[in-house]
Amino acid sequence: MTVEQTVSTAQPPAPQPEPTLAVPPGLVADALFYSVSHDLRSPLLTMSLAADLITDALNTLPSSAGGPVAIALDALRHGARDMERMLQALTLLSRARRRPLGPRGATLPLLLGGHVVISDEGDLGDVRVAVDPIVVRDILDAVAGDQPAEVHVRLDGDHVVLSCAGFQVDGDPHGSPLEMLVNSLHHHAGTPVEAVAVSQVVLERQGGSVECQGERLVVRLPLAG
Amino acid sequence: MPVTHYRRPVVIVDDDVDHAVIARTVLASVAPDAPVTTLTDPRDLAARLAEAPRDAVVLIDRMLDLVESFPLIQRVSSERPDLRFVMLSAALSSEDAGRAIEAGAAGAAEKPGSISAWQTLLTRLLAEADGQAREERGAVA
Repeated sequence: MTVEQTVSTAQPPAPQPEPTLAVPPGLVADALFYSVSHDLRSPLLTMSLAADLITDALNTLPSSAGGPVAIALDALRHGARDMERMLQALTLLSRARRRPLGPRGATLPLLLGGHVVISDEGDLGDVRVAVDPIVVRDILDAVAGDQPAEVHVRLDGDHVVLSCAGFQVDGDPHGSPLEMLVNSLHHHAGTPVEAVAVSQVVLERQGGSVECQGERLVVRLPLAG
Repeated sequence: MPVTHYRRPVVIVDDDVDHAVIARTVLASVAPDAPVTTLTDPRDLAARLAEAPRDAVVLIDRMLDLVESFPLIQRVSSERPDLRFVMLSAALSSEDAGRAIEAGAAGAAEKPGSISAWQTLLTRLLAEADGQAREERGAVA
């Protein structure tokens, strides 16, 4: 059997640059977020309110008259509420991307007051971080609700690392809460994942980060100065 | 259903005809004696608002034909300080509400998602407008 081999001496084509958007991707994302969260909510409101008005009208009829229509309206309202829940998550993300950043800077006792703090580094009472303290408080609220959260604190280079126990999410979550949320709005909208993802957006704009490691949230905060 | 004896004129400015009709329907249920004007055509709004009834409450949408209504509120309220603007929007952040107040609006709120919440909101807005009118009368007296 003869096998003919053709060996090409031609050079492989040089890789072509990826096509790029004419406008910065951040602007596109912001515009898309706004369009989705605002423009879609407007007709959704119309449908919800129209369903309410029809229900009011039905209530003036004898109870047997509107049976199937009442059931259909109930289904319509359930669907609208579900869509509203998901649009609300996108609205909160959109606002977190656009909102002006407030004053940054807080000591760890201000951030973690009321929580059970376990320090691997001794007294960290004078340590200041360069973030909006409300964002960190929002994360701790999402983890622990009204209860004190258990927070392990350590220093890592020019960051403070908070490891917060008790983040209750279905499954075995790992990675970015923001990715978890946008990968399944249906599953996570309106849950603590949404609250943490929104805080993550603001925190990353300030040089911090949030990561989910099972039932722990690991929050990295840039040191001030 | 809350019913007020509110009689001051109300102007609804919304280029979404459905929202304007719903707002008007709810207003008729909470303030049946209030004269209501609806403006859904975004053209020449400044001129038409300049002719609005005296002391009217103006419920104005944030986006009118793809244009934000902050400058319109600013312009008209400087010429007609008797008008009480309230901005309504399907989605309104606290920053946007602050911009509305800076532009001269008396208030700003998200459009509610249920008729009962609309009734509550409009009843509150009309009561606030009435309270302001009483304060002004008191100050003059």
